[in-house]
Amino acid sequence: MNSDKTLMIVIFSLTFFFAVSGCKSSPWEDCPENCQSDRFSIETNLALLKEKEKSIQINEGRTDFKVALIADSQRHPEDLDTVIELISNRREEIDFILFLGDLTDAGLEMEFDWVCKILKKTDLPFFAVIGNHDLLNYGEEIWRGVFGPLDYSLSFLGTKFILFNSNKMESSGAPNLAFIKAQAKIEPGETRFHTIAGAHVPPSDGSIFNSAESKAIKDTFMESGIHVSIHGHLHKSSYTYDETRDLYQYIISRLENNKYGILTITRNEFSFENCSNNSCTVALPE
Amino acid sequence: MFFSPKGKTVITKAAIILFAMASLCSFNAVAAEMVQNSKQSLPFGIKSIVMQGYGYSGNIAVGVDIPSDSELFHFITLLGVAQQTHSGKRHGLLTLKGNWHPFSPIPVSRSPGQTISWEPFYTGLSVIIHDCIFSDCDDDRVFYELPDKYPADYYPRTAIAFALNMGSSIVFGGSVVYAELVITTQGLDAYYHNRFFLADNYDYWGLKSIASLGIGLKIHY
Repeated sequence: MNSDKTLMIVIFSLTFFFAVSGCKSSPWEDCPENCQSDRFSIETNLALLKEKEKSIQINEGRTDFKVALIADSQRHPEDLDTVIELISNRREEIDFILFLGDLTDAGLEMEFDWVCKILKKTDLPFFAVIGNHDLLNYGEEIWRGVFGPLDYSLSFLGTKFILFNSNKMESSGAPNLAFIKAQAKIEPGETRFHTIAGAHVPPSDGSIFNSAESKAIKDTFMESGIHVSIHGHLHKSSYTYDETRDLYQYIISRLENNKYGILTITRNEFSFENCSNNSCTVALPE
Repeated sequence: MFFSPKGKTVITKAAIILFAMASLCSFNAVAAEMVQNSKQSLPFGIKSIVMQGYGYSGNIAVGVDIPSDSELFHFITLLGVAQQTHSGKRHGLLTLKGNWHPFSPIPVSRSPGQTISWEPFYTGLSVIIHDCIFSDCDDDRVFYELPDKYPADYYPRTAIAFALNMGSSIVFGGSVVYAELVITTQGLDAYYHNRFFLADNYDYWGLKSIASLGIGLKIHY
């Protein structure tokens, strides 16, 4: 074989491998390949949830439902994959998945790609709030591209979830208390049994919020008729009741070792379960 | 939606590849002319001018190679620019590589006046630095030093990445063409903790998720 032919083969081989290596010009790229689908957008999942609600109202007539809660998967996609499979296996009883932030450890493209690859495997609607780790590097740009806005709300069978960005240190202006108040208002003709707030950093985290800020958030909850708030971030599960504001706060454990939570809502009550693999125990407020 | 359809991404990638190949050819010609026209050697022990595409060094990067006297070690500095695929934002990158070349190139083809040799394997480490001087960075999210607002050790430095390089090269005439697989320490850590997930879900034993392949050209001075 002459040298020109060898050179051609070398260049062709390099070009081929270069072409299949993905768009990784830098560790700070923003194109998670597996996220390039409308399946992940809030809009698509709201439409799926609406369809599900309609089907339940016509066929089952129930008002109680279950939500799977997960948080802080960060650098453990293998565990997230297992938990999504466990939750999907219970799709007859769980209506949707709520991810309470820190899907990634550093807001990197490859980390978002793992999450999308895993979420593609479930047919349950899912929603997420952004975590402080997701905001690092170019995480916010990727988040907005994949999921959509950082503050939004959803209604399901008479319960409204107000989901917002509470990462005060990484996002100037967060949390947006005016947004929470506006979303909590009950529209004329609306039937609502519960209003629940969901955000990554809990207002009770004294390392992020000073006492005045923490009070302002909790007072906003109280004035808006929110009596349950759910969070991640602290990595350890806890369930507390603030008697003066009639506010329950549930914090979910981080996902490592296949931990997740289940929120059960009925017309008059709600309860939380702490789960690990297939075993769940009821959480009692401290 | 923010993301373009997959087909558009493939076309963009193909265009970048063609552009990179054209740039490599032009660079080869210009560098060869520079070498021919110059009578003096470059300062600081620089032996080669380097151009690289991808491999976490940018869509395109240029720099210099300084080998040790024994040529066992090569120190490469690259300045690159990366255009993010979807937002279109650009940022600069400074890559500092130290590579160990344990194998001498093996001749694979000889033609009159030219020998082609193959270096089967080399490895090394890189420091990749995101430019926040000329590029627009959000200082709270991309930083060299942890901003004072965060508690101590709250986050590592997000604007600096460390990486492992593994490559192979073809030496012909006064040039070297190399292909280099680059994996950041975050990628290595993820692989260590999630190897079954990555291997089951991504091609090439999961490497497609955590590695970037770069191709480069060195023109010996």
